[in-house]
Amino acid sequence: MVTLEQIKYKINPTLALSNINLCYPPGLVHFVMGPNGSGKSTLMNIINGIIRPDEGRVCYNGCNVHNTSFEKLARQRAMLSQHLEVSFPTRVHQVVMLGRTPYFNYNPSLEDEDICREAMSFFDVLKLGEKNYNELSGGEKQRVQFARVCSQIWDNHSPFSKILLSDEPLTFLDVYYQYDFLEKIKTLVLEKNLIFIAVIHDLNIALKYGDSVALLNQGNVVAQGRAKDVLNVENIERAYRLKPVLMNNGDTSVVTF
Amino acid sequence: MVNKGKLIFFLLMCLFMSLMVTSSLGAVDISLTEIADSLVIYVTGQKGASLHHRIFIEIRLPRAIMAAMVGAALSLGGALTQAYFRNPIVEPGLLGTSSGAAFGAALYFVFGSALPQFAGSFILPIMACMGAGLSSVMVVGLTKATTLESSSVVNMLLIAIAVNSIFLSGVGFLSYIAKDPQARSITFWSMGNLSGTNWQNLMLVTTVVMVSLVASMRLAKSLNAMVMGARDAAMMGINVKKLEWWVLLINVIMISVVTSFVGIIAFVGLITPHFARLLRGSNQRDILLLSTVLGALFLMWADFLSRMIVRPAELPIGILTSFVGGPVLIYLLRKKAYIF
Repeated sequence: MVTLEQIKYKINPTLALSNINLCYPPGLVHFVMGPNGSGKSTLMNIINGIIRPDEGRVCYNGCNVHNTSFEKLARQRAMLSQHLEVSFPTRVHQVVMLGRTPYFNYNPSLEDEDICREAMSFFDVLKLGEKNYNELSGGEKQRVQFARVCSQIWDNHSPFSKILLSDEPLTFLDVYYQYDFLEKIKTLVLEKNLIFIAVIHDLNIALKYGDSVALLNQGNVVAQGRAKDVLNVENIERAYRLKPVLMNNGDTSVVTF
Repeated sequence: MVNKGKLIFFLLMCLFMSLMVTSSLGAVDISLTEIADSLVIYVTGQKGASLHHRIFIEIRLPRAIMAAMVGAALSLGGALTQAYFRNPIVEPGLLGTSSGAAFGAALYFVFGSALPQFAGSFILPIMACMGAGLSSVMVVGLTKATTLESSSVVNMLLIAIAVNSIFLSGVGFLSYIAKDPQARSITFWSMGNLSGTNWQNLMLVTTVVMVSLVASMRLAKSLNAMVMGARDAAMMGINVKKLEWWVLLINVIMISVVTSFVGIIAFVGLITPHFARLLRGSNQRDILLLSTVLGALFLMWADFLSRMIVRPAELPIGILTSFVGGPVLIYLLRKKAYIF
């Protein structure tokens, strides 16, 4: 369980996150949405522990994030950033193994190797293992990064549910891999009882895959709850300043403008 | 990628052979039997050492080992800073460490006689350390003060150019106001010179380099994670501030101790990590160790050549390393990607 209590944080003179209370139970897919500059990325950095809020606290399974060491935090949560570049030519396998950094001191153990392999085959990058990461396409790099962050929280015998955070994970993916990624995440979240929290922009994907959505606007959570309830015509128009057309087709709803 | 065990064995053999060859040839040539004899004489403490025996033990051998240690230190410094700053063209010279150390040492050369001699021969490396510490703090501090994104390497390199020019102008000024013999030692020394080596300063340099190597190897895992950038490394549990502190500390101490005894030797720290990556890919544990050994080999032979080209006189070694290093760097930059 990830909880945010009474978070206040001043981003710049005109924008501040104020009075944010959110609760993220395990086994579900959570999305953070909102227009550009609404404070989504800052909120993600508060959740992952990089930014210390001015007031309030973030807890993972009841433990305050800012009282926990870097390494201990890294064993509980992984974060996929938008940054894909690696500064030196590196083999794909080695990039994925970086995810196991918090678990070994000097040499990766056999378990680390096994987890790496499992994560790589889960995201279909096992055959790229010996390639130079820098020579991959954007989509391949993205999938290798999925394998890396997932291997960081792959643990099969942890009593607590682990946390996977992601800032716009779909940026470099084509449509096939966007849906493929979300199907895989959904499987992982259920299988390993993960807490998955991601910033995304695509309203239709949020409607299809989101168990919960928090909608941000100008530093405030303007709506939160089940995706279908939050992403209604009124909320979308208020946040994005565009009048949407919502079409319901049985179970699925589609937004267009 | 080259097999690790074989590579290490091969390089250790190379080191030993190089030590023998480079210390036997020079202004006078010493035969291998004389080398063996002189070792026996000095180890057993016998009397009757000839001139050749004494040249080998008191001049050639410490000098060859010093060359190896200096090369090792410069390369390790290069490998460490390249990994931490995630940039393949960073080296201690570019970070201001060397020019700061040079300034500290130049201060000692000009005003050293006026200082109390409480620290004996250690006062030179201490002054160099202070200079290098000051310049490094300036580079890193100013980078953080002038950029929003503290990871901006380009900005840091530009600031390093500014800081370098300040300290090097300081060195220039000191050599201008210095009286003749001191000025000569500054100029001579600013191009690198290993001729002042004795066993005492060799011991200090060796200790510092070995301790630095062990400390660096402990940072290898964190440096590996830095390949994804500081933010992602932090997400993987790396304490980036602590890592930065260690990298700079090791770099400052190691580079200034070396610089204070042998002067400024450019390019070594820049090119050897590239060769290490060519041979062994990108695991920092391999790169740190391999750069150190390659640097030792490289500088041993560079020093050897600097003694041989105009023998019995000597060229400053910095001239040689820059002459070799420039074209090699261009060749390396020409290749788009490394081959594993």
